[in-house]
Amino acid sequence: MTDHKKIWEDALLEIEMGVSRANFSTWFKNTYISKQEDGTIYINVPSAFVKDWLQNKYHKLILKALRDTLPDTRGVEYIIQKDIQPPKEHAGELEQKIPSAQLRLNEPYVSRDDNLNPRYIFDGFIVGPFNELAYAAAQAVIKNPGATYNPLYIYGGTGLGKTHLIQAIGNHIKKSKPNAKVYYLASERYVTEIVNSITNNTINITKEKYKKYDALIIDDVQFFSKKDKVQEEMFHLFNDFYNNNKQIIFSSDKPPKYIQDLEERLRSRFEGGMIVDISKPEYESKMAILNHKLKTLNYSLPAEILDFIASSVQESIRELEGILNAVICQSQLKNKELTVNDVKTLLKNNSKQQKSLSIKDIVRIIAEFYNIEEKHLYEKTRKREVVKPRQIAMYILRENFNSSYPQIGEKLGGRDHTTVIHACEKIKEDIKKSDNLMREIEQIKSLLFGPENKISSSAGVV
Amino acid sequence: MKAECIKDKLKEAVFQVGKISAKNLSLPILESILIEAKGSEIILKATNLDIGLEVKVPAKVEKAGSVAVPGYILAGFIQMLESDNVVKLEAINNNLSVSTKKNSTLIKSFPADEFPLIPRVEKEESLTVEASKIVSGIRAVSFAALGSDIKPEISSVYIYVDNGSLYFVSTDSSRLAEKKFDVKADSDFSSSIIPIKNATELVRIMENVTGNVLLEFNKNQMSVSAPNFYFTSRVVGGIFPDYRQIIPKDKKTEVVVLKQELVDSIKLSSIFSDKFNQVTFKIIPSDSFFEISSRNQDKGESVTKIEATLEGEDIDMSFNSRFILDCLNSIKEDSVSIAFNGHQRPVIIKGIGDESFTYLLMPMIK
Repeated sequence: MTDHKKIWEDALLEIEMGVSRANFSTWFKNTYISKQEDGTIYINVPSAFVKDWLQNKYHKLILKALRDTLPDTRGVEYIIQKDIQPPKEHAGELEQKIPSAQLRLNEPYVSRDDNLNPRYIFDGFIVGPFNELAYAAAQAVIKNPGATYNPLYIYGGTGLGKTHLIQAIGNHIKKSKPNAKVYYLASERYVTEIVNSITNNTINITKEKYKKYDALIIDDVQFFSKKDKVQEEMFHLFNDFYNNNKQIIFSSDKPPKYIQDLEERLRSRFEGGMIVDISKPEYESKMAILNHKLKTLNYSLPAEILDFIASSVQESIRELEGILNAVICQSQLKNKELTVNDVKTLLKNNSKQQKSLSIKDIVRIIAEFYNIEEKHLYEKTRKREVVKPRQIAMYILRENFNSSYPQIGEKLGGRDHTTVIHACEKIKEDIKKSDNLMREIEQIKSLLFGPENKISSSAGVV
Repeated sequence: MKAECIKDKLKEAVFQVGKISAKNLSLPILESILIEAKGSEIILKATNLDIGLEVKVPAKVEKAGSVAVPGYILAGFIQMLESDNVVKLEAINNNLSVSTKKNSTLIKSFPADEFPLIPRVEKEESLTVEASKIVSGIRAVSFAALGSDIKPEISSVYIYVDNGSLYFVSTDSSRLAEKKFDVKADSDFSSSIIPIKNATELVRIMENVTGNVLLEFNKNQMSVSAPNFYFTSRVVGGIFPDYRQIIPKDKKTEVVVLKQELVDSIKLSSIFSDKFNQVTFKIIPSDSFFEISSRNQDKGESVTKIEATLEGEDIDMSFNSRFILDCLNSIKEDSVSIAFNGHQRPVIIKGIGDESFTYLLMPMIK
């Protein structure tokens, strides 16, 4: 790999000396070297005007400048690359004219060739600590599809931007390599297709159809669970892609290990590339997302309302956007700015009620999980198999339900609050040391809060 | 360079190309018009690096050559020339001398070889069509294009041929206008997206052109040529939304109304509409009731009843009055049909007896 950017920068320096400033900035803006083959250098230019002009006026100068760095340069070709940088900065003001109460046509923007939704691009993708690893992996894939991380496996809860990210990768590959055939599909669709082709006896056609793509993006692969024939087809397809160095991207709501009834050979392949997770956005990222969203909607809301939405919505970015839309819609309907109190009522109506759990329920679930009798947890026994669950119960009550130490102590068999403090500290320390324990606690939490592991610090104990 | 031509023809040509050459601080040569004399004609060229235009003027050329002069100076000067019918153009020491019997002027020029080349389209697809169809096609839909350039693919006019018809389409994603014409099917042209600004320039240039013009396209550039002019524009990369999917196939309520009456009522209502130009349509077919109302907290309110043929379900929806009036300009028929497709669903407006123009509009949230 030669560094194209460096070569072109050097050449530009040389060229800049030979032409006037105005000419230089008009004709050489947004040009870059796209590839280099057998001594011919391909320069991408933004329009036909520039192409003709460079070819006729500056060809010799460019060639000479390039030869200084690359003596074996034999020729230069110019390629028109459209819309290198779509203008976007001042767009906000212009958009203002379109009233936001106006409904939009349901944009059938999904392109039929590749199934990608062009709306999903990196421009609108907010990167924060919660998804920066996934983002970085995505960038690496874009730079070198098929080589760096193959497959790329992204997992995370619902509405956190997995689909956005993987579609953005697809759209980007499509843009930077116009000849590459990218295809996005939801796993469910793949399943139906395989099932149909089995009934119609057209399985070979389906196989060939997918083999012609250069990059494949499959969303929500957890649905492959328990579908043996589909998994088998997926396995063959995967091998074909992998062996030909073609990029594959998966998304799922859980890591491959936790997908039930996934064949071992497929699981190990899922795990063979790069596995990254997207977790829940923290406050700052949520604020950034809200602000970005407002900017695209051309609307503004007072800072305290944004702050309130960001701090009270825990679940997902999708929910965050939903609440924001509801707030905007309400304030337009009522034709006044909403107060924090108005938003509170709105949130109450819109967001799901937290499940209320009693301490007893929690203790019972934990006891069941560890397969011990519930009453032992309340007793003074100090058997090891009881002590650990008891400590975990205290820890969860403290961490996830904000119960006070004395309260926890009292409910769990009249213990001193220092005992509780000790238990919490101990579990905290142990989690750091043992992955096993952490997984156990995650599983308990998912039993407590439902399958999606919804942890909320605002949940109270009844 | 030395040539003679008819003043009025030159004036018209200078006026045409002068619109393209614009003030450009970074590259002053773009303000100029390039005058090229060869054979039996003078070619005037101008470009803003987005559009390129060449207009030919018949002339008696004594000496071939070219010179680039600031467009606004040449235009200003020629406009003021009275009486005389013949103008002589001559390059003297790299400057342009324009003289008639009465006046003689010397205009400072730019070096002609700095003038950008106007690209020729390396043809991939082409289409021959009457100029008037292009003009009226773009005119009929261009109002619906997105004004800002955040989404270049819809800040445009989409032109395509399908099944022997030539279509012009624009949308800003709340509304969509489509105009179609029959063309001879022997064309290899499929589709192209032309930036809206360039499309409106093209309309201006072609307003008075009669007869057929040749359109040529490739994936980067398009051109329109006729014997006396050549226009080229970049085309937009990207994919125009597959809008046919969203045009409703059936209707639940239909209103047929006299266009003028509708225009008047909406104009009246829009005086009292809010800042979003919102007017409300209330339709109860069983009672033959059709009313347009508007309300503005500061100005007051208005209700207008309209005579119309009504059919189907009741409707109570709001629209941006401007969006409705826009499309009525593109409808030439006396009566229009408004087809509703259920609450908060898109509405289709057409002229009665004219299948060539379709307008799709989304309502507003009340």
